[in-house]
Amino acid sequence: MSVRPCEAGELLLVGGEPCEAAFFVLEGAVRVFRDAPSGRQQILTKIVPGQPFNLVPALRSHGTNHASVQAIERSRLLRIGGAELLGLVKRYPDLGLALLGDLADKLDHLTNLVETIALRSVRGRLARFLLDHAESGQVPRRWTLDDIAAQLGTVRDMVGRALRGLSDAGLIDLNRERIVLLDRPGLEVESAQ
Amino acid sequence: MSSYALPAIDTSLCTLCGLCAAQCPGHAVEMTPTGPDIVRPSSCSYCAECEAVCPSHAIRCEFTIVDLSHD
Repeated sequence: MSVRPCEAGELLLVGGEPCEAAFFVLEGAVRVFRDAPSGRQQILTKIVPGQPFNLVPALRSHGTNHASVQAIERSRLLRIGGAELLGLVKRYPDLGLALLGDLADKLDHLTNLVETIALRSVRGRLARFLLDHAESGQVPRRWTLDDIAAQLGTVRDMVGRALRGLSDAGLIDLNRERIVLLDRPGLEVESAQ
Repeated sequence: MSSYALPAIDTSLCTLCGLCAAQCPGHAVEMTPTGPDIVRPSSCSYCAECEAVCPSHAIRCEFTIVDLSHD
């Protein structure tokens, strides 16, 4: 078991490579994603302090990383080998129950993600994304079209087209670098499409 | 608006391919020996075409998402 610091943007794991350990986020945040050979990327989830990642392959012999992981910001991670983790779970059953709960939460999240991508339109997914990520703080997060496309499971051209569609419908305003939400109830209706 | 956002350029990533300047519909971007420069900022419509064509992600057109629906 060891503490592993990492810088923002640092690639921590590559999907498909042999698994060396499980990790827990102590500080900061990481993103979990998969890449297609075409270069498209799908964000699967974000891991924040207190949460683990790469658990399942670590607990399997000869497991491979399920996905790639990259630090979103400067972070500190707890790195633990599969055998050591398994020993801790056997010794402390409450730890096993907590990890089971985390896996259940991840399963819920991924099931919802599959439903969203498979059954909702890009425009509907974009409406949901804008509603969930609209900020009014001093330093809002900044997104490129590629960033948004990776969250939605599509490509940047489709995001651009969907943004123009929502703007033409009067639901948002595209004001240079600002996407401004104008009609939240209307976007809620769109997000169900 | 008295000021407006422009694409962010990281010249350390630029390979000097010139695609951004060639693709810019407003001719806002031109190539210099050290990389692209937005020489006509008033011609930039923030269309993000330069970002789309850049093979090394040296140009980024970033957006913030703001909720004014309650105002």
